[in-house]
Amino acid sequence: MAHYSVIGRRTPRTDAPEIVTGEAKYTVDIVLPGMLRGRILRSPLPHARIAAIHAEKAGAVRGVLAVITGADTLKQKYGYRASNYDEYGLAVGKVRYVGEQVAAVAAVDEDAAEEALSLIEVEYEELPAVFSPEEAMREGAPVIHDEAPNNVSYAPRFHWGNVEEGFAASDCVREDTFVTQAQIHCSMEPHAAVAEFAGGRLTLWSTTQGPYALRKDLALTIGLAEGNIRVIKPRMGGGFGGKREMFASDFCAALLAMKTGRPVKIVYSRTEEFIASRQRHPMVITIRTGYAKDGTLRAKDCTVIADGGAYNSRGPGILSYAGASLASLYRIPHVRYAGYHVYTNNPVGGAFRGYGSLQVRFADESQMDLIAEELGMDPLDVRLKNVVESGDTTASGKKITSCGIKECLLKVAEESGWHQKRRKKQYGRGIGIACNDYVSALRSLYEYDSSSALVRPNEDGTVDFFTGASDIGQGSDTTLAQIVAEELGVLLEKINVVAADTRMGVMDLGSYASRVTFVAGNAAKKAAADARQQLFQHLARRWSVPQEKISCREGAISVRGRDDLFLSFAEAIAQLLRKEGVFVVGRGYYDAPSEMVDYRTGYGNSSPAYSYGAQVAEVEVDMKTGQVKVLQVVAASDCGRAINPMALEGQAEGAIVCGLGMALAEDRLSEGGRTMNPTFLEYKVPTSGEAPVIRSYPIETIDPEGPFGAKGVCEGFQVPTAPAVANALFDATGIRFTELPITSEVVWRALKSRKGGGDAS
Amino acid sequence: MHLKPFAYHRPLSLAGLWDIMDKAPSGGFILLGGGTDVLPRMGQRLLAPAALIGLKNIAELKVIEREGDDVFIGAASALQHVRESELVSRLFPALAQAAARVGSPQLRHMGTIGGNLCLDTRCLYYNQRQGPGAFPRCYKKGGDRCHVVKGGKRCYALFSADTPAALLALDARVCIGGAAGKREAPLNEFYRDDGIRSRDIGEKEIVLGIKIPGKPVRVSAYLRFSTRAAIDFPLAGLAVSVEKSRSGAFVNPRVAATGICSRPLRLAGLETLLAGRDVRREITEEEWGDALKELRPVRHQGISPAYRKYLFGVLMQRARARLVP
Ligand SMILES: Cc1cc2nc3c(=O)[nH]c(=O)nc-3n(C[C@H](O)[C@H](O)[C@H](O)COP(=O)(O)OP(=O)(O)OC[C@H]3O[C@@H](n4cnc5c(N)ncnc54)[C@H](O)[C@@H]3O)c2cc1C
Ligand code: SF4
Repeated sequence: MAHYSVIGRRTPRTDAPEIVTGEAKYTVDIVLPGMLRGRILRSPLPHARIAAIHAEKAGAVRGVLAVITGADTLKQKYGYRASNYDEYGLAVGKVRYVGEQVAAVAAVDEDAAEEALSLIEVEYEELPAVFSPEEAMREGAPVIHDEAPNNVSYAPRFHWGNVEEGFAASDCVREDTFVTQAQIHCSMEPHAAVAEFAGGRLTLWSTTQGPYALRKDLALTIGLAEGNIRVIKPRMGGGFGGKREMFASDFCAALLAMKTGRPVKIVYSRTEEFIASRQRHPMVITIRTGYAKDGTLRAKDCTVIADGGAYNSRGPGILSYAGASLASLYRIPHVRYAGYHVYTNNPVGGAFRGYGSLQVRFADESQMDLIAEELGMDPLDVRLKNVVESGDTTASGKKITSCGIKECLLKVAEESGWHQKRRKKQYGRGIGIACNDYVSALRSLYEYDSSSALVRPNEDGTVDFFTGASDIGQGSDTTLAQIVAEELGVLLEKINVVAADTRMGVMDLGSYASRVTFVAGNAAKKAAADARQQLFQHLARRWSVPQEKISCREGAISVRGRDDLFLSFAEAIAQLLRKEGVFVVGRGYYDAPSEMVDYRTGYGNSSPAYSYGAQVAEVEVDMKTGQVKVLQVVAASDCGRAINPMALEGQAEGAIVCGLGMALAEDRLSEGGRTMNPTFLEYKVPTSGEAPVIRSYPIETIDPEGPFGAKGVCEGFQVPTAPAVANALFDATGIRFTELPITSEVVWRALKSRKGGGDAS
Repeated sequence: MHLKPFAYHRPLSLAGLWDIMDKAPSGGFILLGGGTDVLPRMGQRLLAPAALIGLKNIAELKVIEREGDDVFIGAASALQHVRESELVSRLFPALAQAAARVGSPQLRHMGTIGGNLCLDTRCLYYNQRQGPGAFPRCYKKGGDRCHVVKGGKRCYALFSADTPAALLALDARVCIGGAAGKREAPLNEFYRDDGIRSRDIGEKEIVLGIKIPGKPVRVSAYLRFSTRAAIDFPLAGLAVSVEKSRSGAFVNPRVAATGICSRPLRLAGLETLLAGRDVRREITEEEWGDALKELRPVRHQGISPAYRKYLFGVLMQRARARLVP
């Protein structure tokens, strides 16, 4: 390891000072000459036909320049795959959830825009609505989309091996059902967009996790050629999956700018974030598992019913990945899966850190403990016995290369004092374990899973690094810059990151599926290697030395065995540029060597590598009030290589706290499809006061395909938290909680009903 | 947060204040302590005052001082100031403890005790930005129904400020003033169980401060339960005080709760239970269950009435333990 000078070091994010001093500029800070403010009118009803919209009065308000409705659009649906397109930029004909975008206005200021909104008259014919997926699937339920008469928009059926055989060969079989809630992303920065239209070309600054994907959605729905659309992602304050696709803010800002000829800015309010962005799919998960007396898993049969809300969004992909995750962590030869993505009149389910596998892992990891309990085994041992190993090909076709799941489990057990603490039982205190696997990119939507990069050294020794990748707050710009600096042999501070702008021509699919470090990182590494190679080639010719003898480290070029030949990187580049007319421009392209998942069978090696993680949670329960205090979470993650251990810790901490929120408190309260708690006061995101001690440890397995051996880890960190807490609660109280969130009232009720009423102590 | 334009007055004296209030159109202004509740409500479009009158520059409203045996706390005193006051923590621990639990450090530095006393009631149907999917107007929004208590004849919005419970348990009196003069009333009479107007104060009056008797000397404590440690209102808050005595018995106990109904409430049942009893004696669940029989909390914040009621019992058990000398 000692031979690396940039990677592997605890490195503060290069933009940290700007962010913490408030100097950093976000989309909301963009001001353009003549810019208008846009606002969106949203549906007050969960399900209704739009009979008419009267916008005349709104249009007549002083300062209002444009009012648009679905009638002013191409009425082109968009969504996941073409076969799943079901959503409009502005509602056409019908609204399907409270908060759906119905009209938008652009005005000289917020006051005029707000007044105009209040003057738009929409005639609705209310339709019967349905809010639970089980009811929506019933015969005679209101039909939300004509294309899906039973409200099931996507129903993957996977079967790998033969579960009947597997169950027949099992000593025991158990079936359990688990329920998870709607969780809301709560990015600090709300969705925002600024659009400018001039000369037939559109420029859109947007809070997006993927400028190229957003450009596609925009081109499709507003009818401009992709080449005439430039999407720029400014600095971002969080995404977590909630900014994957086009939002009404993007669509309406673009259209209003085109209509008025003036720039338009739209920023979501916190209320809009809560009611009209996306949420984690609530799921009902039933798992039947067959296993041998020694704890060996034999077969798994799982049904997932997901509340998709009013539209597909990334739902189909999420339902597929939920199913795929059943067969990739443990060795199970026989797995069957039936998923249902069900339309309801709730807010739209979408991508969220964990992407469906999180809900399934909550169920599966809880059931692993139930199995351990039944067999009288240590939950750690049941896991160690079943986890996949390097060299495996899973029943679902995943080829396991580097794999540190055992090391992760053993590490968290050791660091948490697992064995001692389990032996020393103390009523009201408990310890629980859970683990996970995760992809490092996912080839499911496009035929390619690629990224590209350019590395262009300047004559002063700084290096412009162009990447399509989107740093959405996770700090990937720093990580990628570290990779470039290491590969090129220069100091980190010499790298200027220019990122996420479709005009630069370095494409990337976006920040999702924990793919940035792996895919964009490999592209960056290749671009840097290409630049170095070009430079060294010239120097080799000039000095008449073999190219392999030249190296560059921390900006100093030297030649092995030739102490007389020495040049700084800056000088070398300057000489080439000034005197020889040589532009060193490194190009890098990487397409993950994975297979397209067959979406009918779910079979395929969808990711170039798999990362792993394990967590131990320790809890203390107030046996009277039911309040749960999480004392400590110990996490280990097989990240391949920790390019930046500090960034890794940051990801662990953020994800674990988000996982704790899901485990214990966060819930979208709703009534008649309306979100009842659309504020940070009433939607209980944990504060630093609830954050436990978090200790996280990297397990380095040095993946053969990853950049310097690294794998993707950011999403995985959130996956085992909730089941680890539920398992710890079982240890503390003897009660198995199968529904999230496990609020204090839920615990109180459970304690009380076990005691048969009265004092729960 | 984008707000409608409004005038902002910052009088430097009470005389200046009366003058501004006198000239203001009735209902056109709102008094501003720290603004930690007024401003969010303005942002949610629940309030749209023509003018805000800030009280924080009036020196007389910011004192914490002895008045004979009593202690007077000016309404514009910041909660942080109250919490850190040596006088308060020595004589009225329940108040210091309650002030310490409000919101977060930022809110305690901005928020005043007057604002905390006059804090409006809260309800999920009301305290959110009027937007898509608004429910039909309820009483508090000028409508004709209540969504929390279906068929209810009044507003049941929840009072959940922290310090009023402590102040009730400390037998505090509220000092009210206006251009016409000053009056004083037991704090208990200041509140009523009405979600729309939970405080008895005239449109052109203000709370000048609070007066807490230093004699007889009381031992007191405030405990609360909330989902989060900070940035969260109490789901249940309970203050207890008892006259200091050699006997080790509860002499003239006071128990007051917040988060129970539309006002901070003295819990007579618990007071009766405690009176004369040895402080060291545990309170059983059966006992407090009986003593709280009369309470009828309604469903708020997704919390069931049964659980809320139970929390008060647990708080009572735990508060007692704090009073043991
Ligand atoms: C996120 C958050 C969390 C919170 N958590 C808590 C909590 O845990 N506990 C709690 O008790 N509160 C909480 N609050 C509410 C609020 O911050 C506090 O109650 C604070 O004490 C209010 O004081 P203020 O001076 O800021 O009030 P303001 O907002 O200035 O005023 C509140 C009300 O009192 C009136 N008022 C103010 N001063 C006077 C006066 N002298 N005479 C007459 N009327 C007056 C105002 O007109 C207004 O109606 C929270 C608020 C937020 C935003
Ligand atoms: S308690 Fe009833 S009347 Fe009062 S705010 Fe809530 S819904 Fe409205």
